Amino acid sequence: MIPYRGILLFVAGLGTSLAAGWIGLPAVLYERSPQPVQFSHKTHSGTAGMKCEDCHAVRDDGTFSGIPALAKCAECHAEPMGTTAAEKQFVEKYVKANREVPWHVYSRQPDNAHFSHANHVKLGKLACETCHGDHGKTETLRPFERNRISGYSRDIWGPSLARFTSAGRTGMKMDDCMSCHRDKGVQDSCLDCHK
Amino acid sequence: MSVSRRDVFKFGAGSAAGLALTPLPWKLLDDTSIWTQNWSWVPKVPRGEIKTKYSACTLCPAGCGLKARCVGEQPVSLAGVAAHPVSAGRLCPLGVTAHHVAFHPKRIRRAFRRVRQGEKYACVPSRTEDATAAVAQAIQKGSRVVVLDGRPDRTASLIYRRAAASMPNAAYVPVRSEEGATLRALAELTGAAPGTLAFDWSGARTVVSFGTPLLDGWGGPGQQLEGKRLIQVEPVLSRTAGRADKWLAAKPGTEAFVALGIAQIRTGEGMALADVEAITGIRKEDLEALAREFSDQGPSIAIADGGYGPQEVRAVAALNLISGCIVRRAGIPMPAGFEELPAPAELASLPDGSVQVLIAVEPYGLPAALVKRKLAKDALVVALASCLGGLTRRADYVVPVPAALEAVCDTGAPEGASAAAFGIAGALMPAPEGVADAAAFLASVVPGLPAEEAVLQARAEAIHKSGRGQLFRFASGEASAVKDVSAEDFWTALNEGACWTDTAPAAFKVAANPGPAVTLEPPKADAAYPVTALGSGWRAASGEAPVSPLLTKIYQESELRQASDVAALNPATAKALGLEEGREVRVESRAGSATLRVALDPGIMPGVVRLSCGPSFEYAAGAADPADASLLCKLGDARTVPVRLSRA
Repeated sequence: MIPYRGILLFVAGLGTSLAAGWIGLPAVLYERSPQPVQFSHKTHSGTAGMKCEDCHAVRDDGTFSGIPALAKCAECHAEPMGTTAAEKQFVEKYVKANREVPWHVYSRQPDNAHFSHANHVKLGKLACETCHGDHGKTETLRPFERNRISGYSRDIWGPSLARFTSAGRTGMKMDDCMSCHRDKGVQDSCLDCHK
Repeated sequence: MSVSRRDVFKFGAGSAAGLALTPLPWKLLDDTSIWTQNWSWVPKVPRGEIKTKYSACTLCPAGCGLKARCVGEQPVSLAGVAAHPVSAGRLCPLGVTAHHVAFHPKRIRRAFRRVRQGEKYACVPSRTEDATAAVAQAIQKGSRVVVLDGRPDRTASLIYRRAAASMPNAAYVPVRSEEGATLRALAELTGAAPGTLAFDWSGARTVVSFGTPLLDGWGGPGQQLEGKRLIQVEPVLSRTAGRADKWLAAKPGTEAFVALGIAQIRTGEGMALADVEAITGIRKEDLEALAREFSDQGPSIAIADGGYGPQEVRAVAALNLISGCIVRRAGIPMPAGFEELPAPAELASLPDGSVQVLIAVEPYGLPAALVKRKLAKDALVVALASCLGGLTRRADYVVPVPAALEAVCDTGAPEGASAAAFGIAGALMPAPEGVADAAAFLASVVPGLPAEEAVLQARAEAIHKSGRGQLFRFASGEASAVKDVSAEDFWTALNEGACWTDTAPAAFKVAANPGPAVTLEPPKADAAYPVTALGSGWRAASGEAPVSPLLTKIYQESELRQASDVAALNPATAKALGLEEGREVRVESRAGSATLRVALDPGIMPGVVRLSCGPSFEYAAGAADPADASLLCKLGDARTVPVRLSRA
């Protein structure tokens, strides 16, 4: 007879669930896939001296350009400018073939949510990093982690399953937006985002 | 080592406790709910490059400016236009979701016929050509034809008038809503031409509204009232009454006597306040304060666009002659060739049983019992409509027409606006294949009618030729004098969503004499029918016309109009009759009866029951005779009907 058998079984069950919930779930739930092109923000902002808004700009009519179309890249990369294999592959596979790059968008929101970059960047004076992190300084693009059930990026829930880190909220769900609005004293209504 | 059931339960208990300490349960719940939103059969908004287009909402005559975000040919969201000189950025919940109407569950995409099958009617597919042939045949036989216009005063209405004038035995009848009743009465009192008077909203300081839903759908979305004091006189705590500066609860059917009380104090010709108090239930002191406010806090506007009878409206309209808040407004210039058209007929003045062919264009919000009285036995009824509802339930042929934002249409200024306005609401999405506008249907019956777009262009030319007013272009935010714009640019700008407004109206000199006295009879108490039934929900855009079933998930249809199976009562009235919320109640009048559900509303005066004026939107395809779907019309023909209530 194993002493404290009952307690041990309870603890075993507890441990199994905790492991399943905290370690197993993210491993199973998210499907990782690399971005189609290994783009280096650091090279473009450093060596090439570009700024965020050179590719990601609020247009005159207030719409946001988002991830730039192929035409923007082709302005410089009609032929490879460097020696990296990633750039060579990009030019061969996309620029010369005139094929749009099927980027995975980390921050894609549901169709019923309308987000205005113009309001947040120009009026709210929010820095890009506030929502997108230090993305602009990366050498490579991290893999896209797609939730197998909802279909959205892991970035929407947030990298931490608990939705909180020591840095505070890190997700892009409605709750995260509302929390920031509350902190900044922004009055809002349903219609502001769900048009 | 054997594993017992107890072991399994202990392990399970530990697992359950552990699960609760992980995000797994609610993460899976969250993800599963999102998964259900992405099923392949759930309609999705198209993704793609977003283009901005300007147009105007055509759900009601206010014609508020629209800024549409479109993906391809699909508008995905609508917003107001801040620089619009008439709507000033406002857009009501119906307008915000105007692009949903084309996808309404009751949308008509194919023509159909109603054929009698025994006791019931069935809807069978038909063709527009069949309806055209039936009408043409009837016209050849010399039948009396009426073209009933559910949305009058548009440029298309001129085409309908020309069609009626071209037929040998036809009349054009506009469906007049209660909006504009006060100004029409004023025109009669002063001998001014109809449509040439307007309220001077910019000059007014006080507005006394008799049952008019000024903050609840009347005219444009409330912009006329900014900075003004609003006093609402009506028996229920409506949305307008709740937001007014003061609410005077007059007994139903007695509101116009308050106007006589004000006239008595101002001019000595009216009704003694003691009598007004006895009739209306409003205290003499409140009446005196109202009269003082009307004169001392003027200029004031008195308005009674609440479905009142002609004498009641006249009593209120006459107050405006002493308050000095009327202006003379020039109308929108007529397009060439349409200046001389026969005057429209009024539905009430047609002989009963005389209409043998009724062509009803967008037939919502009609006085159903009145229409039925005017129809001959075996009359041919053709309804041209975008959605089921209204007269489509009675029509022999139903022919689809484009829904809101699917066809080019013109817009004017909201009712009562001081200056005329004109805009073109461009189509933002294509109409379904085979669906043509009402003008095209009439052109197939009456050869030689011009197309709507040609008449719109002619009207724009007439406006440009007048040299009056300003052109506002919203895309660029510019305003130009019309005389500084070429005719071609004027037409192009209008098609891109620009708006024309007329020059400031001229002051209207009123006669010192307030006009002929009115004859008002106070409602007589009916001991057998002691409760007064009051109608609600007449407003066209939120009455019977189709509205988005989603309304951005904030406003529901039930909040805009009372359901047709509901009788709303004051809790004290309900208690006295032994009725509770949700119970069935029998509502009886001398004309008929109905069994409804009780809803309690303390904003309704005791002794009053509020009923829906518009019928249920549910299409009763199998009903024996859906003609009298309007409940209030079943019970009587007036705005207030004596009824009695009992437990069903």
